[in-house]
Amino acid sequence: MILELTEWIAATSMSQTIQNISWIIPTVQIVHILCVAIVMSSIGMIDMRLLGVSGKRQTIAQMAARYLPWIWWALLILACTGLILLIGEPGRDLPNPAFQAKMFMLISVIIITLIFQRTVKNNMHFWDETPARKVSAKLTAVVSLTLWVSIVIAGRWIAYTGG
Amino acid sequence: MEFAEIIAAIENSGVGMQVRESTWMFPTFESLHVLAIVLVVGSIAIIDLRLLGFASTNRSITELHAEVLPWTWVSFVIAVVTGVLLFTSAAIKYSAMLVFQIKMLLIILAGANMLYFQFVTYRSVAQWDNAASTPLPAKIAGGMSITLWIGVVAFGRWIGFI
Repeated sequence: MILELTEWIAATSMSQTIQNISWIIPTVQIVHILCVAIVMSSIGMIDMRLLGVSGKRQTIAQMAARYLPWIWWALLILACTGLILLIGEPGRDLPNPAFQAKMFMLISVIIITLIFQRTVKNNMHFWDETPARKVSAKLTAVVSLTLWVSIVIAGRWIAYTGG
Repeated sequence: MEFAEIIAAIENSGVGMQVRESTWMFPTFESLHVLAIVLVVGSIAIIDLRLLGFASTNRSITELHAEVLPWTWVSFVIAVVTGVLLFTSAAIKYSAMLVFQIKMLLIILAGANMLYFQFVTYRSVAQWDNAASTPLPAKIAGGMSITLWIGVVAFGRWIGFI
């Protein structure tokens, strides 16, 4: 199924255009990486606060309000630029284990981030209220950081595990 | 020793040979390099956007500085170390590439911009620490910094396409 989808995308005129104009893929990749920079730094600030490592002058809710919107907007651009790259080189991505792992981890971490956003929106002090929640805040941060770092590494690794 | 000889010596060094011949080293160092550079650029952008008055305007500049800059420096050190390791694998090729040379120049300019800001503009920070709108020299420093770092990422990525 993946193979058929790959061939179908590769045959579209949009894919042909992206492949034939040499500057499109490098330029889109640059925009993609710059958005990764926004996401990673923003999530880093939030997670370091959740861990209690830095940013303690701000509440978790303040950190979330400052950095979460940047993460969502950057993710939107990442989805668009990622889609362009995928359409241009479907054979490089879709059958690629690094790409598949990246997408799986991405969906997982988006769900975690959405849950985090909801809890902090409904109750500003949610993560500070009980010792158990403080621990779960730290756990959330560790899982989030691990997933994001792995996503970046898997993303770069796509270039090496493709056919 | 001439510049070309130094570059050749780097490429022919044991480290250069190992990075070149290993199957996993280059992708691993490259992944770490990307991870480090996105954190350098993203964290610096947090401060630049504050200087420009676009974000974090409710935060004091010195506070934000203290919160963000340690991460920038740790990431920068990792980016340099991994960058040097990648460079050794094909020092002659990289050093001759225009996009690589421009990237290095942009890093030097970003460093010079930061030093000027830190040692000249920042000396009067007490007067505008909490101001949403910073003085013009601080705005210029922030604007130059974010522009130069975007350039570093752009030319850095372009190296891989030549």
